[in-house]
Amino acid sequence: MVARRLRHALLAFGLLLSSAALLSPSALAQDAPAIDAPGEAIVDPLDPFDFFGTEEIVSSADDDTKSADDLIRDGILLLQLYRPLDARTKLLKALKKDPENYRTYNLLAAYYLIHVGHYRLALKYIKRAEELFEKSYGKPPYANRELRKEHSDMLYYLSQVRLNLDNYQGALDVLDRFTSLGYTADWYPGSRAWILMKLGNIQEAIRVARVGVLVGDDGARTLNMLGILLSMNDQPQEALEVFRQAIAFELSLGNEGQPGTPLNNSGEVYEELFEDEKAESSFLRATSYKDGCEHILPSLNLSLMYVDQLRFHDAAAAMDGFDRCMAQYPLKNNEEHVALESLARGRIDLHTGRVDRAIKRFEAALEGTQWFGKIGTNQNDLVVAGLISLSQALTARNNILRTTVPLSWGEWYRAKEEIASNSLRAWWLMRRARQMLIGELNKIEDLTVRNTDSLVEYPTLGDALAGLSNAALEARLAQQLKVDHRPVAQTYYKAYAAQRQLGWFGNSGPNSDLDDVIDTARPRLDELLKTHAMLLRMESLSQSGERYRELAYRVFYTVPAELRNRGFKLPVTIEAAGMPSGLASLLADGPFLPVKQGSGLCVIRSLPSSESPAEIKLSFSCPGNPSKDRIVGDVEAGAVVNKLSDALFREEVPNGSDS
Amino acid sequence: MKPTAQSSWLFWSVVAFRCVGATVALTLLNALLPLGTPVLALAWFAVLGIVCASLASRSRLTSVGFCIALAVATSAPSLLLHLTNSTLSLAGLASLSVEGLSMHLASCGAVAALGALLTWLFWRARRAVTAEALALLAVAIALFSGHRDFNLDRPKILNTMAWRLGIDQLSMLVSVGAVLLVATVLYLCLASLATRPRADEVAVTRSSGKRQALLGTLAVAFVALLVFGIEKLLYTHYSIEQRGRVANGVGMRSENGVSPLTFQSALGSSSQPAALVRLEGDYNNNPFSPMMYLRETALSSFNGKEMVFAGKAFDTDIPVTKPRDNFTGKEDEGLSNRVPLVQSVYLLADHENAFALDYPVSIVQLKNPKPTRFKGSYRAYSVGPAYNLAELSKEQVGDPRWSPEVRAHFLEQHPDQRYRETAERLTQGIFNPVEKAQALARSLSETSIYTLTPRHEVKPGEDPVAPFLFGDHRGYCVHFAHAMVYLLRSLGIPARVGTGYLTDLSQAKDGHILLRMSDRHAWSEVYVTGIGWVPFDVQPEQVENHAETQVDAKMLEELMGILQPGEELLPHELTKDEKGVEEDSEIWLPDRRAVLATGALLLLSFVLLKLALRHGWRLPLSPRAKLRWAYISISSALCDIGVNRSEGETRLEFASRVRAAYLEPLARLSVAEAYAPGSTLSSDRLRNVVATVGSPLGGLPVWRRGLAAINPASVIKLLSGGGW
Repeated sequence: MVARRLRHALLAFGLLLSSAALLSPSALAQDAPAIDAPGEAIVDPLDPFDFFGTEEIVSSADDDTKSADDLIRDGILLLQLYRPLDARTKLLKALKKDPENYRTYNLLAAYYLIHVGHYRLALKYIKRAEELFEKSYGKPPYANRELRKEHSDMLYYLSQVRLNLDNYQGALDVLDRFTSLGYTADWYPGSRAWILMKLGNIQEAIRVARVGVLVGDDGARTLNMLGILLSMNDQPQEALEVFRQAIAFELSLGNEGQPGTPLNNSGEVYEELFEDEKAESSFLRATSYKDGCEHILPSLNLSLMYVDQLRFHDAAAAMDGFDRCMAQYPLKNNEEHVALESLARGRIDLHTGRVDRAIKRFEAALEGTQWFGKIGTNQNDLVVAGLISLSQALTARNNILRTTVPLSWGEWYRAKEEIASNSLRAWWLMRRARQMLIGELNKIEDLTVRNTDSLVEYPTLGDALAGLSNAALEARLAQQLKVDHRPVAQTYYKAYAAQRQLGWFGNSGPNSDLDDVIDTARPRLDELLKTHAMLLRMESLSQSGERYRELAYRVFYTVPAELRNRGFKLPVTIEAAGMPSGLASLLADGPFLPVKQGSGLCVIRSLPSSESPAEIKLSFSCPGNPSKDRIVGDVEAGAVVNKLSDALFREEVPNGSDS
Repeated sequence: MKPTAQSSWLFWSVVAFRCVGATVALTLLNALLPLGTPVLALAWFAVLGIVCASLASRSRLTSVGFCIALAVATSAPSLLLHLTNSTLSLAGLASLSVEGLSMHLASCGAVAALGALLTWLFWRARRAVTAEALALLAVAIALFSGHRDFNLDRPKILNTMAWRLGIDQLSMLVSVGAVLLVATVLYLCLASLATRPRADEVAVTRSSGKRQALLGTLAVAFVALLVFGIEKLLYTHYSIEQRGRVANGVGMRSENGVSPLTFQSALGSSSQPAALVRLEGDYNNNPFSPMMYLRETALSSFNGKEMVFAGKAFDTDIPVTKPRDNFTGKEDEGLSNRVPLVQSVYLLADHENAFALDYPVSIVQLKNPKPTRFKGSYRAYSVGPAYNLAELSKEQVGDPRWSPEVRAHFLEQHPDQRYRETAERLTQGIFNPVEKAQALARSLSETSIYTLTPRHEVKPGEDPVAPFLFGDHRGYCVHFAHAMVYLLRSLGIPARVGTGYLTDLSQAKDGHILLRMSDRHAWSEVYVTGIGWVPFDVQPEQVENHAETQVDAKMLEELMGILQPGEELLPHELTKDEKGVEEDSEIWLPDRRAVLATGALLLLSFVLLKLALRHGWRLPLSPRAKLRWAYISISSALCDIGVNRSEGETRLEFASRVRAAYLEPLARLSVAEAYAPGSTLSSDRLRNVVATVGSPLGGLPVWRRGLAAINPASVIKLLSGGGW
């Protein structure tokens, strides 16, 4: 979560950087009009008088006769007008005319750093700019104020480019050069704190950020940074207080403010503290602001939180809200969102029984990692989450296939073939996920429930951990329990340990642990964990037992799809009277467990068809729960069983845009 | 017994071949499916398994013993680590590092075990060679089967490799096929020559003729199948070329009276990169945002069956120019709501026509920034649409400046009255022509099902659109566009079919759009007064099969890098010492002529060696040398049909075993000559004996003699020291 906050902060930082780049003296040199306030546009595109002649600037008719400096000025103005491609074209023309002008390189570096995110290219441009600058004015230090400012801007870009290329030490070296030359800038404390944090030097980073706050430079951003650092330093309450200040600061800026960023960050801290209502409120507020709406993180956080609470409609609505927001910007590249949205929507599909669609979405999420730019500081987090989810979905698909009545021999064969291939694939994906958890993700750093940049689904993470050796998992959990004292988190760790030990011959420990989890998991908030524990508990129960029935019905009434996904059958009473022969046994082949004697069970009975005599109609009704009543019909017995299964174990949620 | 130098050479050649094969297979597998464990480690273990099993096969170890040893050897390390971790856990020291190591070891163990098992089978049960050949064949088929239906970019690994090397997909396919072919033949040849030297046998005297023949036949069958596959693929490629690179059912031809579109199947729509388009300016008022239509040609003439290209006489806004030619058109001053827009197009696949944003007024050639990567490049100056789609409904259709002939051309109707009936039914109560067009597009979008394989049964000369519109509503862009045009024209609305690319700008980066073949598209257009041709595209709500894939971001970034200022402005040295900047390594490719020359030289050497082996005795040599070469001639011929002198077998024993009447006197003579040089070699006797040489394969069928003529076995044997 912390890293996710960082990503969000990075976005906000990028926006600020964008203003900074456009407003830097070097960018506005060459007789460009001066700008005093951030965000102030030089040219108003709606200005009927259009003093600067926008169309004239955009037009390339006179470019051949214009000097490089004129073209540079045009480029700057076009960037101000948010016409990046026009600006880029002008700058490249300027570069052609005067390949020794460092300002062009400097501007192109800023362009590729901010507008495009092509850091390798930005690095080339900024290095060349510095080289030419030193060629023109000699090595630093410089006495001239303007030169000092221009050089300090170059160092700033260089540090940011290196930061984005994950060269943290290189970025810090640049900042050291910056201070050694006596330069100062408002962005400096926040930037230095960030880099120090990336290098793992949290205490030093906090110290720098605090100084930045005291000095008052770039207040909102530095406050946000400090809040993140404090939360990383296990000081959540202090972090929340700092975020409150950051929110107030941003709100005070009016339309220029970006309160969505600190709001999302405070929501994540609340989430870590298991104060879910406050977290929800923060995320909802964040999405109501422009910066929070445009960015996926608040919506994603909200959606994943709703999945934990089994509020699938709300989870889908959160993602729909994000889609609607993004639709306002049809030209905006949504590259980094594709994978995250696919993952979130896939989870919703999986838990609502749309397993086929879930598989496609998880595959899209894994494929989408190629677009997972700098927003995701660690692409492996997404890959691991995608691998685990896809493996779970494939297993669920197999369980569904096993309880689907084949309508022909061909279908039977295809199902068997798919089950074999899915089993192999699911095993391999889960094994790969475990390997990555241990290797690429530093000995399961994601284990800390809700406290990392992980995208794994914590209630069901036990599925992946169960494949580790008992000794290794026990040791890792013991290590975790030493540092994590949050009471709610203990329930999760208990569930993981129990799932690992489940099935050990004669070991009753996990059963009682799972019962504990079922009883102690927070109602309404940890519903997915509770459901998962109930399903695990059912594994060691006899299907004829009362406890099995009780748990099966609890799951069925809350999240029916999970029952079929995990391969469990629902105990029902089948009224064979009037039923075509063989239908009862087909129902038993499906996800139903016929029980001869039992009270309070749902009942399946045959109904006479009013439309066609050949049609078989089945009704499903549950005493005391009319919301589960279903009537399905088909001419084929197998098909009617399958239809009933789908009607009961699938939920309709908004589909969203197909990713 | 100690193996001879020759058998040792062959033995280790086979082992080396297997090791290389295993390494390549693992590398390929890792590229397809990340294995988690470093390939180098896996390859080392595979090699270890192969070498150990090969050595073990020369010992007295039985198969059961081998299996036990294998099980112990592969599971012991993992087990040991597991036990270590369990023991450490008692002391609270268990660690995930050990767990991770254990998982890696398990992978390595599995690879080593597989390599060892297959190698053991190879040496101990020689029929395994056949099984391996079949497995290779299966892999080859699996590899190439991805290319069915013109999908030249599959499998992805080959496509990626082709891209990295800067060669086209077909060349990559053929190269891989050729390498596979050569490797398989060479391997089978080596495998058939190499025998397992056994410590407990002085001589292996079993006849290997049948087995060799079987292997030879299998090899030939395998080669024939591969050749057939490659030939088939080439044929497919040429048919694609002939039809103008059809993808998504949309080809590239633009001849008068001809349609570049196909109705039967849209398969072949691949993600093969087609072109890189770079917008040189912002296009903020794109009415179709985030989509963008890049038109290549338009079909406005109806030939009684389908829409075809009418030529410049009618479609004056279409440049119809080759990508390598310049074009200068005239801007239509009568059109409004258009903005100038410049695009640079860098072609990644061959195109017959230049394409650009509707409509280009000028096309000029650009310097190709990298000829090894781009097929050509040009810059198009267009006046792009900037109208508001929502406001079009008030407009009229057609151009008042059109002559009656032109108007009639764009209103030429389909004779089938059902189109008119359908159009009238769908637009009942609507009076404005643009609204009618919108209603038709909406209606078709709601009822149509997108499928790449409509599989309509249409006889030649029949209307291919009718089964779609009046039948199952299944089709793809070509069906939708034609149906729309027929319906629109039946209502008196001038319409035509536009073809080219439809791309999603949201997948662009810095104004760079990577077009794939799967972006090829056909759509219907209506001429709106004062605006020009406006696309009215059907977007079916139901999709049966359509593989929408994301643009390859890495490829896009790589191409963007090529278009940036060159080395003179941004030298590589700038980022030489920077971390996190990995430049794409340039893969060295030998010059094609050098490869061909080397190949020709090798072939010539092969032929010369073969001739020397068979006919060397005919040269004017000393009697002693003549005798030697005569013996070699017969022995090498026998070798080429799979009859070899076994380990420890004397020449006389061999001659006796093969029962070749012509060999025995030669063998006796050469043995005698070896023991008493010059004593027995009278010229008469030599002449008599040598006279028998020349027809050692005389009794064999022609195909076997032919096979022997091209079999490299004798040449390999010669190079490995002979031992005839």
